[in-house]
Amino acid sequence: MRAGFAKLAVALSILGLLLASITLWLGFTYAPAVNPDDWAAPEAYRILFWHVPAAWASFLAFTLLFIGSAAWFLSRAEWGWKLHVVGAHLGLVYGMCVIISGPIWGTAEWGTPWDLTDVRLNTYAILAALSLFLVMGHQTQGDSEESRDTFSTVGLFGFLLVPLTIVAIRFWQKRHPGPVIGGGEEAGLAPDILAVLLFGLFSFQVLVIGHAMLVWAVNETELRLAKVQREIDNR
Amino acid sequence: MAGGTTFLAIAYIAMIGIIGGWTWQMLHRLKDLSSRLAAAEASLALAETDGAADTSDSSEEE
Repeated sequence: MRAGFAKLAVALSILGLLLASITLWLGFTYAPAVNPDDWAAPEAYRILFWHVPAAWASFLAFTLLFIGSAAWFLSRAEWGWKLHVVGAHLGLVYGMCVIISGPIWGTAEWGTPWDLTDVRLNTYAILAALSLFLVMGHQTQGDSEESRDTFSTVGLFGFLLVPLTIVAIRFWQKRHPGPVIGGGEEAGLAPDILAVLLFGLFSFQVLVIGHAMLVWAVNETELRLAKVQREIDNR
Repeated sequence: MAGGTTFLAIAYIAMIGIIGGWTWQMLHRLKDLSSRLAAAEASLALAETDGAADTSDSSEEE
C-alpha cells in the first residue's frame, strides 16, 4: 500500500513535469506572437505560460494548507498536520516560481520589477513569505502541540489572502494585468494562446497533486523509519 | 537594457531550476529513506528471528 502510494506519487510528478515541458514547448512554438505595438517587451509575454499555472498551483497548495490547518486546529487530526506541512512546502515552491518570474516580466514590460502600491503584488508576496516562514519554522522549531497550534493559526490566517489576491486584480487593478480567464471582453486572449494556457493550468494541477503526494510519501516514510528505529533501540 | 527574450530565458531558467531541483531533491530523499527503511525493517526482522531462536534453544535445554 505504502509502496504503491509512493510509486503513484513519483509517476504523477514525472507526468506533471512532462506535461509542463510540453506546455513550455507549445508556448514557444504553437502560441502566436502578440502585437508588438501593444507591449513594451512582446517576447516576454510567454512567461505567462508557466507564471499563471504556477500561481494557480500555489492557490491549490494554500487550500491544502488551510484544510490541514483547520483539521489540526479543530480536531487535532494527525492527517491535518501532515496536510498542513504538504501545503506549506508546495506553497513555497510554486510561490517562489511566481515571485521570481513576475518581477522579471515586470522589469521587461514595466521597466520596474515591483510596484508597492499594487494590491495583487503585495498580497501575493505576503502569501509567499508566509509559506517561507512556515517551512523554516517547521525545520527550526521542535514538533509540539503548541508549535503546531501556532503554525496552524498562521496557515488559517494566510488563506484569507488567497481570495483577496484573486479579486485584487478585479477591484484594485493597477499594474498587474487583469484576469486572463473570466475577465470580460477586454481581457480576452487569442484562442491559441488561451488553449496553451489552459493546457498549462491542467499540467500544473497534475504536477502539484503529484508533488503533494510525494511530500506526503516522504513524511510517511520518515515517520515509519523513526518508528522502526525506536523498536530496534528498545530491543 | 536586456531584451525581452533575455528576460524570458532568465525567468524560465529560474522556474525550471526551482521546480526541477526541488522535485529531484524530493525523489532522492524518498529513495534514500525507502532504502534505509528497508534495511531497518530487515534488521528488525532478523532480531525477531534471533530472539525466537534463543527462546526455543533455552526451552529445549530446560
